[in-house]
Amino acid sequence: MNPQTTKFPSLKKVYNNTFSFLKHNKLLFIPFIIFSILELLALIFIYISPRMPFVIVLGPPIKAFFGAQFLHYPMNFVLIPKLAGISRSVLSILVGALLSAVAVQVIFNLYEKKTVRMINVFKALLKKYASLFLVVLVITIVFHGALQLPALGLKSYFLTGHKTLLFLKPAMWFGSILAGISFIISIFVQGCFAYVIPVLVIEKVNPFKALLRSCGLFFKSFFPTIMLVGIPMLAYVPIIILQYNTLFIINKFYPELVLFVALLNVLVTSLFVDVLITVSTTLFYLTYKDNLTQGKKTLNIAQETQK
Amino acid sequence: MKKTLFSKIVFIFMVVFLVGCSSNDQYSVERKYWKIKKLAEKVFKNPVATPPNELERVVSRSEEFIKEYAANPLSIEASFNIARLYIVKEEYESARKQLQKILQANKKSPVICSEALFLIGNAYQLQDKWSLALEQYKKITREYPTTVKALDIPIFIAQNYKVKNQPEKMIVAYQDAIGQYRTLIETYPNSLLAFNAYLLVAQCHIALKDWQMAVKTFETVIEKFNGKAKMDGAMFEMAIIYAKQLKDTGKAKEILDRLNKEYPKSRYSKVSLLLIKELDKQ
Repeated sequence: MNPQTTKFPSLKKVYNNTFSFLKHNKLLFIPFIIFSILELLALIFIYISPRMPFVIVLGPPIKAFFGAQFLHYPMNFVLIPKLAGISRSVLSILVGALLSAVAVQVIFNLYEKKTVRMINVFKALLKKYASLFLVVLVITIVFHGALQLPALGLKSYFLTGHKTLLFLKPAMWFGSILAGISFIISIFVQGCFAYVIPVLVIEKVNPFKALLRSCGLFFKSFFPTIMLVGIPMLAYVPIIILQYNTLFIINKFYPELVLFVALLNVLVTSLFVDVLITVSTTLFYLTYKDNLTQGKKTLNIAQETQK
Repeated sequence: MKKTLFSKIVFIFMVVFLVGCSSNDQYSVERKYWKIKKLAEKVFKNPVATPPNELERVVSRSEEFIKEYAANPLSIEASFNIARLYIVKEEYESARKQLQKILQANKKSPVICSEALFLIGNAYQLQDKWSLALEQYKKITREYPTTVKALDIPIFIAQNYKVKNQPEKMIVAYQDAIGQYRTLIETYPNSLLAFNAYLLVAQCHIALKDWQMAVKTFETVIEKFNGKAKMDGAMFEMAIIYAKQLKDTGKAKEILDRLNKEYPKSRYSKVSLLLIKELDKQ
């Protein structure tokens, strides 16, 4: 058996541990519930932004960045998925970073069979806020930058006079294919940075080292990491399809359905996808670390026995 | 102490939220109107299959809306929608009555009146009463000459003769249109209206295949309005006429070069560069 592969726990083992952790430690859900409440509040503000008296404050920025038509019914619903995405990014940087770190610390304490006092964990991690803020800021920038790349590539390709790409017209490329490519890219980027917060919280290294170590671990454990990130994200596919067809929903059904999809998105993302990814990748990292330490110990014993 | 402050903030927030969202603000008016518009859309999509009671339902809901929000601009749109519904259901008399109501209620608004007259004309036209329709259309140019509808109408009349395959009447209509636009130019010189009228004169000459006059009109408009309005469209059309109709490739290239020099970011610049290449090959 290849010793390199034995360092990484099997996916089955990681998922068994994940579900067992989630089943027995409801405390783990607290950071994710807090984040989803904040996201829901942001969504409510986005929804009521064209109405009095909120339009006085929220109207001018929407008008300036997107256009006055998005302050009118039902066009405001077209903008809801986009604004919800922006608010999620902002909240992730400002609060999500800290909450993810809290979740990771709780998992670590439970894994080490230490007692967990949420308030103490919060207090301890508040001291690391700057580092957490910085890493999530970097990840968000890279994430959004990477998502822009395929669209930019396609734009420059078709603007230079090409009429088709792989026998497909621009409408196809800029439609569902681009959404699919963006989804795959988001899995890769998330996978690449999946271990940043566990490394930062558990190893207590500086933010840039954490980023580098996470990327390194991602390439070493490419397949399991992609699976750990990709499998929960499949739950997001129906929402992507619904959000991609926002105009269709508005015209064929009710504009309010867009808000319902956005609410569903918050619940699925914050309370299912994020929970599974955070818990499973942290447990994967902790088991990998344990295996590595165990391997070193065995090697030392073997060397001493030889002597 | 902290709890009291927190509960006060929550209370204020809830009050603001509820007051804001339950009041009749523009957004909620738009929402109500959108629902009526959706009902109307069903009639517009399939007017023949729509039962009369469905039309009555949409009309009565629209009328309720107009009554409730008389001061809102959407009420005018709702009024026009009722007339359009009657037109698609071929209830022309009811449509005209509705449009007369709009005319009476909005005497001071030339835009609304011109649109109402245009729809009255449409209703006559659909009944094959062309002379009555024409009377309404001419009323628009006579009574509301500065409206967008008044600018469109002369060409609309000429095109109508073209569709009916009446070339003599079409030529006369285009010449009439040129005359009307020239009057507007004289009455409102150096205005945006005059600029649009010049472009429409050029379009009339193009329709009459009077290429020299079309080019001359474009030259005049460029000379008079350069710097005041974007001339890239006029330049491009002029270049096309020189290249395709007057076979003067040198002049066409000269104009296209000027277009690219003066409007490098124009939407015509790419096509004009391609056209220059094509002209060079010739």
